[in-house]
Amino acid sequence: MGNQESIFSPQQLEAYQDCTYFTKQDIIRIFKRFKEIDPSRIQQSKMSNLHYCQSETLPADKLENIPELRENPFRRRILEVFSQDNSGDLAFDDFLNMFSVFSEDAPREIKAVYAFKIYDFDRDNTLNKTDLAKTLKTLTQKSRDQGDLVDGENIEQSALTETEENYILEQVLKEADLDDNNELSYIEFEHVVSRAPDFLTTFHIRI
Amino acid sequence: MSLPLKSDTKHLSESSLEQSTKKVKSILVHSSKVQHQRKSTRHQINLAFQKDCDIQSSSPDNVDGAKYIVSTFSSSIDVIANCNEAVDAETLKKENETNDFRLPSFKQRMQRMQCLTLRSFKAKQERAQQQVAQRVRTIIQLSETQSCINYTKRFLKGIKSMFDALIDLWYRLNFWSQQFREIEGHFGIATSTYFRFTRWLVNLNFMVFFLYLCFIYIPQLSYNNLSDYFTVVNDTGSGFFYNKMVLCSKSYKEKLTTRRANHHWLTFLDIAQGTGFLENTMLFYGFYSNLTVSLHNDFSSRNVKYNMGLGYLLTVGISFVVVFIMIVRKSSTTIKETVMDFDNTAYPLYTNAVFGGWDYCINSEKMSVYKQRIIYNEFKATLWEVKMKKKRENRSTREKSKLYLKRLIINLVVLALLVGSFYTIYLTTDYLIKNQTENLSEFNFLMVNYLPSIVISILNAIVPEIFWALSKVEEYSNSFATHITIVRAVFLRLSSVWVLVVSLYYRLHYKGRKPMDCPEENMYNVTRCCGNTLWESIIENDKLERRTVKCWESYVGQQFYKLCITDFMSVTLIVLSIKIPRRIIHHHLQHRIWVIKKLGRAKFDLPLQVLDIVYSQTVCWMGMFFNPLLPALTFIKVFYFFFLKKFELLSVAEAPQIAYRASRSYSFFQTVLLVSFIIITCLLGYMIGNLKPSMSCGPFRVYSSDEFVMFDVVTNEINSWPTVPQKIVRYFETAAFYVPAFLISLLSIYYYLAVTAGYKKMEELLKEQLKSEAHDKQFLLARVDEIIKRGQWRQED
Repeated sequence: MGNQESIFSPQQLEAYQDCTYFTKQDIIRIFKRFKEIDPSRIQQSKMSNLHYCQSETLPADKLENIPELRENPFRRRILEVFSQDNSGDLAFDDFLNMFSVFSEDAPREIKAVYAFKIYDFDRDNTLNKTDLAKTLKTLTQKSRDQGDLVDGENIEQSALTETEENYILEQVLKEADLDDNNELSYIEFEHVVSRAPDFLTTFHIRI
Repeated sequence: MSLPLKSDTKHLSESSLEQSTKKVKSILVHSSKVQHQRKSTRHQINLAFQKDCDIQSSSPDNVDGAKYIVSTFSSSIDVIANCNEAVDAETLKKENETNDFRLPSFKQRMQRMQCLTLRSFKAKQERAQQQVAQRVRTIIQLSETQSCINYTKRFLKGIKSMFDALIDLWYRLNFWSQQFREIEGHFGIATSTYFRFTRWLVNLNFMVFFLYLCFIYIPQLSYNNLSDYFTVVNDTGSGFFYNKMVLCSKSYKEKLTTRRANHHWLTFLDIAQGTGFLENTMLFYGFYSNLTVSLHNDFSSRNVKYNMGLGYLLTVGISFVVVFIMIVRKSSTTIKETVMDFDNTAYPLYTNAVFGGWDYCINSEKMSVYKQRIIYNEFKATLWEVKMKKKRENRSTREKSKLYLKRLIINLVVLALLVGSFYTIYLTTDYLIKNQTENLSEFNFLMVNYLPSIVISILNAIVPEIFWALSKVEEYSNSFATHITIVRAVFLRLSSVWVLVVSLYYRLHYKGRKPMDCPEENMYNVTRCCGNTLWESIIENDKLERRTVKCWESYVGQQFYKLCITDFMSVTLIVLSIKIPRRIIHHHLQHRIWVIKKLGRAKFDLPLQVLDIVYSQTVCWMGMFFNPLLPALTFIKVFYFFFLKKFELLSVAEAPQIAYRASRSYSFFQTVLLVSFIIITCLLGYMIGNLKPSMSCGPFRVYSSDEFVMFDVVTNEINSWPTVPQKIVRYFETAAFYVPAFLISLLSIYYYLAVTAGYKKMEELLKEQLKSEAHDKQFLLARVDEIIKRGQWRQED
């Protein structure tokens, strides 16, 4: 328990514990993970400085490669949403905030807020058809740099046809769009996601 | 709002028109937002979004708009004031007071928004509590009881921090969460619900074991240094039965301790079958004595009485109640989400698939590829279902009748299969009992003993596969086919245990041979001796003496013990001898032999795995009464299964191609468990209320009357209470209690159904209201546009 106190000041830890859904041990652990990503940039001694916590950022390319985010097709959007200037670079505050939102204890409302932002590709605060189409494409089709052979089995890269995609998008709008303006506002999104049973369980990253 | 008048139109410039339009729009938008206010926090979030929107889209000149935003924003100042890391509240207040308003930078706004969303939910309550606590503290400091309350508070705080430290330590051990991280990373959350379920069962078994430990094991162990025979419950007329009991018990004990050649092979047999020395241990019911001990303490003159029979019965009862409560509590949290499935119109199928589709937990490359395939397959399957549904509606009558005929035939086939399996089980049990007292060699006897369990295991492995194949012929929709196969498989598994029990009952209590040499006085003209029907063997033989059934409860317990062991062995063997070789063969030969490639790797099929675990648990519950040590055994067994299945999952199986929804899976597991639990309770209840216990063993040896059943222990206890409590308890047995209670429960169910229907109606109405309000808003905006345009034309004229 000795070096726990030396990284963060007690007030900081209290504040972090209040602000997020983590215990003190978790926060220390997450900090260690954060440091591992790029040890040369993060100096442990400075972490008790609040300003340092918020300003010293890690670049998006390195963050994309951590095991929790590496296989996620939405990783770029996640990083952009949680960063302070939409660039994808996260400071420790943002990093902690991100995993707090994705933790098991975060309530549905918080997750809905951030999910809405993640799926809103063009950042216009509504989910219109282009946003939904992009979401669907990202879900079913992943860009692969290497070949399509995994474990000796050939996996064909199949995709949904145009008509199928349109049908699915239409159904989504039919289920969710309450005021018939062909796009989902935050309220509609939150309303429909509160009835979707899988959302809470899948929108969760364990660290 | 003031619309430009006709006379003023000439003087209006374009920019001010735009300004007023924007003002109107913002006010309309604001009013619509206010209507959606459900909680103040949500309102703030909406405002945050709206602010962002407005701030980004409006020009810096639009001071009015900005001022309006700030005024609504300042209502949430106290939230912001406590953000340590974000904006300084003082500067914000200062900004408000000066008219020279500058919009905060984007970074600051983002921070504020983050603060709002994070803090609003947690810190707000904490802060309110702290304020109250602060006030209380100041008041208390002025009062005289200061020191007392302070100490209490400090003490409570100390306890709380101790608990926190313990929980921290538990998480530090990181035991379960590490396992789950591995599983979820590779296979997603749906598969990990199976493992969560297993872990929950481990906890359940541990609780039952703990109860048993306190009330059954420890009292029994403390009796062991007392004499062989027992002080008896003080019943009237029990002297006669007491004597009988002594004779029977003596005879039984003699049988158990018959000397024989001490071979290792025989010891192994004993362990495998639960006979011989193992029968005389705590493992079986027969070991427990009917003791009511009076302990004389030296330092107190009180007699401590512990009625073993009562304790045994009540412990079993309470453990069942505890299990029931835990199952119901667990299922009620998930049933809310399952209910939504039933109401298909309200279930957001596509939205759920799109927004809840990707499992964010996945961190292995292989699994992410698989997951995409699964999502893709699910979409394809749903679209195919839609097509099929259309096709089904367009079926001609002729096709329909053919299909119904096919389904009827298949249902008959399924029924025939089930009946055939049950009859097989009955035959084997019959065979077992017939051969119980025949002259067989040791090895053959072992085989015969294990025959029912082995048959049940084989049937459980093969028949569900046949059901699965049959369901494909029936042409149901995919989900319905899965469900119906699972229902059939569940029925088979549960009923096989049930059939075993019933056939044992039939054989042990109805059809026995007339004993020749009953140690009790031959009062009965029936084939019953000391409460057992298979007391004697025909051939007087040292070896066979061991094989007579002198304590039917222990005998039934032995069958359950064998079932437990067979289950354990069969699951281990299947993994070791079937799944691992399959994997190895597949890995090496798949490119050369086409058949092997087609068959693919073993799949970790969730429903069938769940049935395995539920079956183990069912065996435990059924046998809990006859084998008091069975919860401990099952605890170890389920714990072992967790790791065995995990090994199977990670190294042998491949991910299933059909997506199992996590929430549905969990509630499905709970439902299956609950159904099996209820059936078992009914069976056990019947047995306790109706069957005569043995006189030679167990805690219910001493009959208190001719028609003694196990439940009479409780009745006798109640009879020994004073009049008033007795009358109260008796009241609960009469119809005067049951009928009103039943009526009240019916009425409350009806009330809740009516309330639910009312809520549903309200939901429909609110949806309609939302729609019409949005339409209203659009209509009004269109009108405003129209009027402004008219104003513009007039201006141009």
